[in-house]
Amino acid sequence: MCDLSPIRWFHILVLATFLSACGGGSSGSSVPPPPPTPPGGGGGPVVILSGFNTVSDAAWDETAVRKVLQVFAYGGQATDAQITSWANMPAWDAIQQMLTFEEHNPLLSPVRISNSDGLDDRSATLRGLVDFWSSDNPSNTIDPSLRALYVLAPVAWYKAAMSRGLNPFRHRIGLFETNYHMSVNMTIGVTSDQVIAYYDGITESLESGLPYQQVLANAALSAAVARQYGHFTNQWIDGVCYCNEDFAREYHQLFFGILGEYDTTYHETVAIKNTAAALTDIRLQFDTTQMDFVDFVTFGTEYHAPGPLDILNSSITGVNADERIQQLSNVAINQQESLDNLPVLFIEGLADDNMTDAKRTRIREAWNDMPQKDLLRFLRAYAVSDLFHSADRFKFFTSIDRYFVMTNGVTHSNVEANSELYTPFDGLQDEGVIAFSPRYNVFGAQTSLDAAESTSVFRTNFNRVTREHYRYRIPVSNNFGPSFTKDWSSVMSASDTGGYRVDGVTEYLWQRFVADGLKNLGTLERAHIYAFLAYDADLVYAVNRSEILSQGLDPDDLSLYDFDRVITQADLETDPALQSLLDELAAMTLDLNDTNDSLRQQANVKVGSAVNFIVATPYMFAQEGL
Amino acid sequence: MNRRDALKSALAAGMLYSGGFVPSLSRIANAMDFPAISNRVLVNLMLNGGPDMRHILPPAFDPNPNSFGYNYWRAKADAHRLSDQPSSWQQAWDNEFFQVADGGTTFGIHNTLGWLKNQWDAGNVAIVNNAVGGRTRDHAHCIDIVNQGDREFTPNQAYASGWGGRLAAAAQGNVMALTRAPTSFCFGPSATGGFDNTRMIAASDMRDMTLFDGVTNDPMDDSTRISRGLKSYYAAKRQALGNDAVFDRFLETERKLREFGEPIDARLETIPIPPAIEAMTQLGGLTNLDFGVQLRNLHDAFACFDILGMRVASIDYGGWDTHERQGGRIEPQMEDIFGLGKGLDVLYQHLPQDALDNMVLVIAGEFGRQLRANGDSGTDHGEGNSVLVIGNSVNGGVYGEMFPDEEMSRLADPSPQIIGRTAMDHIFAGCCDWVEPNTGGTVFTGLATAELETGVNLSGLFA
Repeated sequence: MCDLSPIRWFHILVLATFLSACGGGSSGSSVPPPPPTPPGGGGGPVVILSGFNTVSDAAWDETAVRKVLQVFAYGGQATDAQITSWANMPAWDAIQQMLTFEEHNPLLSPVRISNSDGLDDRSATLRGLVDFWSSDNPSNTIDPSLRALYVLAPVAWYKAAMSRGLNPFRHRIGLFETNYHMSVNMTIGVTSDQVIAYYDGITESLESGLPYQQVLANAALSAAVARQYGHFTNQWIDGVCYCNEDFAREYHQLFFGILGEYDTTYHETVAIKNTAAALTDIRLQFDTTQMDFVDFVTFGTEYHAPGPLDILNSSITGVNADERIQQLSNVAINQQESLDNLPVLFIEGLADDNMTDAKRTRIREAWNDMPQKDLLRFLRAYAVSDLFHSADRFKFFTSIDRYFVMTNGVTHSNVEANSELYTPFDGLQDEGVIAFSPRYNVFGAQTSLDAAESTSVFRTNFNRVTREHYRYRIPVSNNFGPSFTKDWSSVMSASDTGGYRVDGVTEYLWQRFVADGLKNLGTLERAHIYAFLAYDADLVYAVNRSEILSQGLDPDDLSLYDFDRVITQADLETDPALQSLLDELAAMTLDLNDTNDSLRQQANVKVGSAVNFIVATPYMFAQEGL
Repeated sequence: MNRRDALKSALAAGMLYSGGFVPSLSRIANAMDFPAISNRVLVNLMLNGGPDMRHILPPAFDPNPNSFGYNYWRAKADAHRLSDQPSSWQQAWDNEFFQVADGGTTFGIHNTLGWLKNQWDAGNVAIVNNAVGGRTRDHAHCIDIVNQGDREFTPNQAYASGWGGRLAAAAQGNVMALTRAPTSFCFGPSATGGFDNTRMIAASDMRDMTLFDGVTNDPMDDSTRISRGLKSYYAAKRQALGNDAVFDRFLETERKLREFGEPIDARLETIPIPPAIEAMTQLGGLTNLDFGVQLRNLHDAFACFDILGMRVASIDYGGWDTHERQGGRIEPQMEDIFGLGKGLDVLYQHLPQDALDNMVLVIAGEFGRQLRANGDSGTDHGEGNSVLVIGNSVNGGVYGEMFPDEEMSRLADPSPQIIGRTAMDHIFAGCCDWVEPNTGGTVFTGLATAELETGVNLSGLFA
């Protein structure tokens, strides 16, 4: 049996180190009641954006649904029945249920048995979750010794992305916006409270259906961005702009995708200069009681540039930075460069590492088809389009993508999600990733290509499922926070797996984690997974054992085994003995619903071993469109 | 006799036998465990963020208000944390800089950068001025241009090969990506488009490269069974390598970790991390500890030179986007790299002589900064910049006009920049040719059309 304590202490140490490095933070003020949530998107006429052709009903199947969930919601936590239901609906109807910006999406993230925390009925802004998880509320199932760490934005975000009763799509997009598109960085001084306010400001703006340029404007006028770029010291005094151009440039470039190619000289010498002037007299107060900057800004007029400002060949007026940036954003969103670049940025960043000019043309066409830019409608239309569900598309997973797909696949309830056993924090740390501390600062966090080309990412994942194999195999967990008994039968039905036959369970697990319609579940993969499910042992052992038995020798004599043997796909497909062995393994059953505790637990351990194997295959590192 | 030859003669006569040039005892001891460094190696240090190289290499202060040396200090005083009084500029020039010259050009090297000064004195530093990669002043785009070595690279273009990857391929060697994540500089050429990273070895931690292989002598341990299963699976899977553009790379990654991980571990077990190098990775070491880790990786890569087949190495250092409080940021960061007892100085003390003789360091950012400080004690994005090429075989000196007088007439312009006159391609290609003869033109196919400052001849960059 493994020693449970090191992992626990390591986790605490890592979190505490991070807390210290970030200068702490506070749980902040009380939370105002959330605004009423609008209805969840359904009911309207089916809208297909020009350029995004919705896939046929035949192509919209369970695999298609799972691919959308993997890319846009870390796999989600929907039940298999719900996934089947979505697959049986017209794609556009289904996607409106799947992808919403509300704080809660009960279909995508349903609460399950043993969920006493009632997340589905709580404020689920990041601030609301921070306040709950860091509190002594009797319903809070977070380990009391760790609650203080949940005032930190990354700690709370990790939990939000893997908790039932919330909305992993909201948090997927929230992370993308705040860690990639409009990145802010806690390691350079943006406080946790500023990040939380920034994150909530963006996700609430999206939820309320604001035109997208207003989402960007609100983000641009946040305390987090002011602290990140330092333009809160920009002042206009006696006709001179005491300014830096940092955010003035990145407002155009990073937020809107305007590089200035429309007129490079004008952009450099007029537009950026005047944007710096438009950002003057943003006030960010230093709170001497907290010894840090507050998480909101105010807009002064005393040191704000007077008169109209020529930006993007428009006259931008306003008495303060708020009015200027709100007005400027309405202009910027319709600049040709923004129209060209912004929609591509979303799709490349979220879903497609194989971008082509032909795809860009169609993506831009869809964006242009919305006079009022609506990110949700755009993403929904893309997610059911033949661009997403295309053999020409693939997406490498970032470390965060992969960990949360894995974690949402392996956990069955919030009790399990609250167990340190499944925490992604230390694994992500080992892969050099911490949310809200983006690797490239304002240019964003670890990219999918970074992850795909990194030996460190591969090695960390490999070693985690081998050296720390127990994470997914422990049948009864009592030492990692909330206690639970692993029960794969609670999510995997006997009827769908042929009564928990090895081959049925193999296909179930592959689809749950890899979601490729079994495309890459070849003979070789099946053989290895069968062995783990049948014997809780590797294929090399299983084949050796079978051959030793057939020779009438003692299978317990390990000296007879060739453990360095490589069994190829050709071996498995041509050697009758091996084929027979595979048939035998495939037909065995797991005791997942046995009344005997020991047998049931052994069966759950075997499933855990199979999961360890599956998530270490190449197919856990990327998704293909078809 | 050129500057370098004169310096070499002086060295031979013992005239410059000072701190940085005495072979250290640690180097001698360490070198005994290193393999012979039999091939030349290019080490690319990318300074992401657009460093203001002129901040650390400024012109001499000149009290004449019409001179370059006066107008520079007036325009940049705030970025240097100076008042608007010429006396403070004079004081800074006198007290904060080593004052050096090459021909008719007098300039300073910030006095915290003792190693750079020593290398300059030894004739090992080429400063190539008015160098340019991209001109959009967009960090991401210009970084891509420099990494790819492709001036035509557009913001929406998919990655192809980088110039480090192309050089490694041309030299039939490997490129070591020693950064936290490999950059496109390391990506190798592909005959079918895109890139091929067969020759790239990503090693963000040279001391942690192995895949867990189970519990020794316990074939039935739980961890042994899963690691053995995966090892067997990947070995079998690799037999079908080449069929899948998306997933093959992970089979390649597993192969490289198997092929290199254990031999590297075995080698490095015999070569402990020198304490001075280890210190650079610990709190209290460098300002940027990640740079310390990369230098440790580079040390270790040379220690495993024969295992790795290294011809190119990639390291980086970010944080040069100094829109505010420039002086307080750029100076300690540069000291990390060039200070005595810091970055490269420590590394050099622990590499064997044949490594130093066979290595060239290329140090560049994606663009330079504006000629005038902004209103926030910083500088905003510019265009041209200086590139440093450092090595024992380098013909040290100033290449290109370091302080063009015409800049003075543009100081009041809205966004005055150092005008880029020499495409970085020329500098990088010259380094490629030194690493492996006749590769510059292969690595940089557009060299013939790349601009080169009038009067500049980079063919003599190396001895």
